[in-house]
Amino acid sequence: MDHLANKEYWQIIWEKFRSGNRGAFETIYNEFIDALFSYGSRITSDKALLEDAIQDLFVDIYSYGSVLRKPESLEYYLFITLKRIIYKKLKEKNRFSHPEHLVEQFELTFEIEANEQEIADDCLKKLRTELQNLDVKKRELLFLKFNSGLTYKEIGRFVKQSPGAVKKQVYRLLNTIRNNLGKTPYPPGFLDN
Amino acid sequence: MDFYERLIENPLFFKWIYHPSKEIDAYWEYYLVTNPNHAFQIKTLKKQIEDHLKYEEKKLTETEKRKLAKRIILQLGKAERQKKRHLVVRNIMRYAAVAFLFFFIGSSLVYLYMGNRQSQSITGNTGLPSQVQEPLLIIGNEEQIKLNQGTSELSYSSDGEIILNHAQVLKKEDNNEPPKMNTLVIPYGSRSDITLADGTSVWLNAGSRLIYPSRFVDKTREVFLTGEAFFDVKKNDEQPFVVKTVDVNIEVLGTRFNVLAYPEDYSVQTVLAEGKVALKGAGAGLFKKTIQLVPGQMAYFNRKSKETNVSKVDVEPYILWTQGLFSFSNTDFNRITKKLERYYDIVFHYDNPMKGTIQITGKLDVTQDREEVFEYLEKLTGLYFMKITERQYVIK
Repeated sequence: MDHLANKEYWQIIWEKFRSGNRGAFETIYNEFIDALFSYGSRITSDKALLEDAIQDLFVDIYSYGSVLRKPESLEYYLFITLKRIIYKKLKEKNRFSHPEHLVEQFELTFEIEANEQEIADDCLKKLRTELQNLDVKKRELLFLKFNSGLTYKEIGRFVKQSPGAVKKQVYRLLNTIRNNLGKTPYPPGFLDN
Repeated sequence: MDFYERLIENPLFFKWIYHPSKEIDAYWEYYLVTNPNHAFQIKTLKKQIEDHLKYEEKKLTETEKRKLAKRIILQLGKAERQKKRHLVVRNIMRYAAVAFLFFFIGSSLVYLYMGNRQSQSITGNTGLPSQVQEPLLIIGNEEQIKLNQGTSELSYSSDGEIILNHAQVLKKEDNNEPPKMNTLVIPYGSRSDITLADGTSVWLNAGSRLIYPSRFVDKTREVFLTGEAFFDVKKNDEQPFVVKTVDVNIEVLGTRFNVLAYPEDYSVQTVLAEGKVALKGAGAGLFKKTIQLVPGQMAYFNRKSKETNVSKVDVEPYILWTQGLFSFSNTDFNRITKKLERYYDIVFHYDNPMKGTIQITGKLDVTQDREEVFEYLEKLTGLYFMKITERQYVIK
């Protein structure tokens, strides 16, 4: 699929949204709500706060979006604005209680299946340990790679790393999995479904 | 880049794993079928990621999503009113508000139209053209003759012969017998060029039906149209020619004009190229008075409001189809795909209906290879035509 054409399409929708078209809002909302909620809920577990933040996100980009005439990528603009709004809200909420507690967080727990001990492969064992011990930025970086069409450059701007470093991180993890390809026997008929 | 790297760089691959949907599943299913040598690699990589890189997904329920959407729409309405207050200050922006109003009307029409279209596809086509597989000529009530697919030419000579494609005599009618009613049914994917017994030419477009007598012996020459046809009527002051559709009757003396009256459309359009026509409501009291058209005008009958608007138009784009050409100027893309559906007898699904509201301008030579036409449209719109089956496409 042509990624560029996709961008142009979202630009048309974006302009329709900005001119007050409700159908365009619904298109954007339906396409991104799952990814945005999933992303936001990794920064805060406060669901009410997150829903407020998503509401503010749409009102903000509708009211002030003209500053950014044509966002380079609507997706990037949505994610980065949501992140900014969530942190602003967390700051307001914690102003009087524990401002020092406001450190960046990103919850991403990979599910470990029950047959953990059955994994004999050292590479995979290492991978599991690595996944358990990823730092905040790497967790966010991986999530964005799996859940969005953002480029390495855009993800890099998110986590304040160079695009090269982002790519390296993604490939390190996926290489373990790739090297493991072919080692795991798949049941006959796996390809038939 | 090796194959795995290309997969890793394709956001749709991860979307398939982490946020599957009907469209995305269909996309990959099709990809796997058309690229069988990559199927194993794709499936094993997917399985590996699912086994090792799965994490807990937090999601809103559908109800929560709708509730949140409602809240946002309410807030957007408030923001809009605030915005408008700012606009009044800047005089010139008022025009933008007017433009927005028109845009809004336009887009609701599209939704109306999309809505109609959907219910149509659910209830199935009840019109005759969709029930036949190949072009069919029915003479009287009993005799059925299958015609060739694609473009066919029928001609009724003055001595009672029906000739197909300038060569084959289908039937010879005795002129002493009363004329029989003929029904020509053209399914999607075919067209026909008919010369009636009085010398009038009719180009019948795909998915249309025309009922006419083998000879015109009554006071008026009456034909019944469902679908789209271009008429070049032989002048005869004593015997007016009347085109009847479900909603509108068009009375003519001698003239050239196009009628678009598909049952699933929300309008009946009559475009006059030459001469003079008069339009009347088919039922009683539909129009307050007869509407007269002069060349270069279009009468647009809205089947919902039962109102008719007359406007000046460029005639050529409306009749180019008779030469296998489609011409568009600032036309919504879904109008074009609808025409193509009829022409090629296929079905388009939009993965998102908003994509059908892109406006395009240009000419299409639909006599070319179908894939070439789609390629050209892909370039023009930036969209992607994904072939699902021989007759089904998804526009992404």
